[in-house]
Amino acid sequence: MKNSPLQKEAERIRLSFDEKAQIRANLHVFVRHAPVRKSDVVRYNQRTLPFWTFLQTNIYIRSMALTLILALFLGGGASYAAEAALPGDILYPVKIEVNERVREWVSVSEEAKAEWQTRAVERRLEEAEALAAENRLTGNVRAEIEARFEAHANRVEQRIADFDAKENLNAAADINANFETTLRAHAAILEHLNIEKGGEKSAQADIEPLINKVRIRAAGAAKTRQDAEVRVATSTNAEMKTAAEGRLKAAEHKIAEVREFIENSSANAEIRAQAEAQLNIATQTLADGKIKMEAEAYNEAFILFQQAHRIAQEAKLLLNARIRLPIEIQINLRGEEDREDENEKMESTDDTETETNAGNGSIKSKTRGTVEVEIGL
Amino acid sequence: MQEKAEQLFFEAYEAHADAIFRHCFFRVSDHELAKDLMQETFTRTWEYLQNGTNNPVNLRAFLYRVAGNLVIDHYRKKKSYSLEELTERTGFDPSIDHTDHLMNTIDAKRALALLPQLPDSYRTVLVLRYVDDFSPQEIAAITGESQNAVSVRIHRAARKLRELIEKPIS
Repeated sequence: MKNSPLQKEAERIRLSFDEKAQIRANLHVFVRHAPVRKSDVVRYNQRTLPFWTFLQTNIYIRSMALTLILALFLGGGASYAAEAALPGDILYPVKIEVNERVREWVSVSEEAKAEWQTRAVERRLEEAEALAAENRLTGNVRAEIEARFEAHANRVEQRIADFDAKENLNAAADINANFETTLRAHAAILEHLNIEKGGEKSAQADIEPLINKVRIRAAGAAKTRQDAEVRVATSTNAEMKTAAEGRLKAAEHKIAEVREFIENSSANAEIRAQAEAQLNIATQTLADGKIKMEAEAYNEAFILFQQAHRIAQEAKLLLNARIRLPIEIQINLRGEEDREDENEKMESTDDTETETNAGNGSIKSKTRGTVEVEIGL
Repeated sequence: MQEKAEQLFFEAYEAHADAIFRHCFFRVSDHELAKDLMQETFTRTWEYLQNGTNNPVNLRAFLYRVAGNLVIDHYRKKKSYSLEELTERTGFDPSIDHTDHLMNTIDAKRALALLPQLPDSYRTVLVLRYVDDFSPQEIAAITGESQNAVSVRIHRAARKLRELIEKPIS
């Protein structure tokens, strides 16, 4: 049947070189996206069950080694006590070298490792805050914290870049959202402490350089987020929908997590009520996003879900700070105006704008002495 | 592993993209739509390869099956099958098959131009048989029907096409 007249005639119908190349290019883009979409779902589920994942992987070897470490270090209670240690304390090396190494080690998935690194960044900043609040942040200690902070932050950024390169955009967005919020909230808290303690410098070193370092990282994270948003905005409708669905799920998880955190916190009713009020804004933003989703405005939904995620995380961080630190932080509840402002901001992608955004985390001293922390989330 | 899969996938694209496009074109008679269907065929196939535990033995046939399903999906959105097509399903076994001869002696250009006038089920088998050069057995594997039903349909489709060709242009 080879070369029937029909076949010969039919061969006149063909794709042009350009058409074939265009579809090939489309497929290249698709191939890079498609496997991630599927694996994303799986990884997401795994991440919600980190302990299970841990058990699944090398159960025998890991549990043996863990037991050994637990017996050696946790047995004496030193490790537990070390958790609260600050730089300069005797137990601080145990916190850094034992507790944190174990924490890092038991994080199995790439996402869990990245999450841990983000948490480590936060732990360094919490230490700096605790020391600053006690007037113990000397030059040496600050330098040590800064060095560790930079090392952890580098690793987080590296992980985000890796997720990005692997087109695991959901994971990249998750980690980056936590990272950005953490940095912005702590920069604001540190700055607040800096102002409050400004009068009594004594042994206290200037924490401005640390604050600047945090702000630069926050600006970087904001830029990463904006790039991701531009990428989503310029992708196909189907890709946009997938991305928005991913963010919806992440924001829902975050809100549930923060709600639980608030319920279980030891804070007084007033502080909790404030955190809840802020969480309600996150819930409302999420609901707005869902409406956009139904209207198939996936890009706007994506941005709103990201925002809901950050607002919820911010509520958690500020609540945590108020429990930990003997400072009064007035949370600025953000209204509709701010959100519109935020949306405008997101449309911009150039560096200068990002820098300006980073400056949004400003502290406004009020006449009656309370301090309002606005971290521009 | 992933690179290997990608390499094989794009080799398949180079080898079969034109043929799949042509197949789609003769099924839907629309250049742009055929391009879309061809692209969709490859994206679906990639997804299948990524998620499936067992890879298709015959990738070429698999591509045609995917393309065929997409064309059917396309038509489903537009219209239902005709009664004539539905009565085809039972079929009979023609004693002597003159179909190939029938198709070799027709005016190819005119035949292709008249394809859109045939019901889709006829068009499918004619394109698979005489444009894509599959045997009735292979076509049966692609469409998921019996070889007998396919042979019958090829025969009837060819006869129908011939009728159309021989019909004086009014």
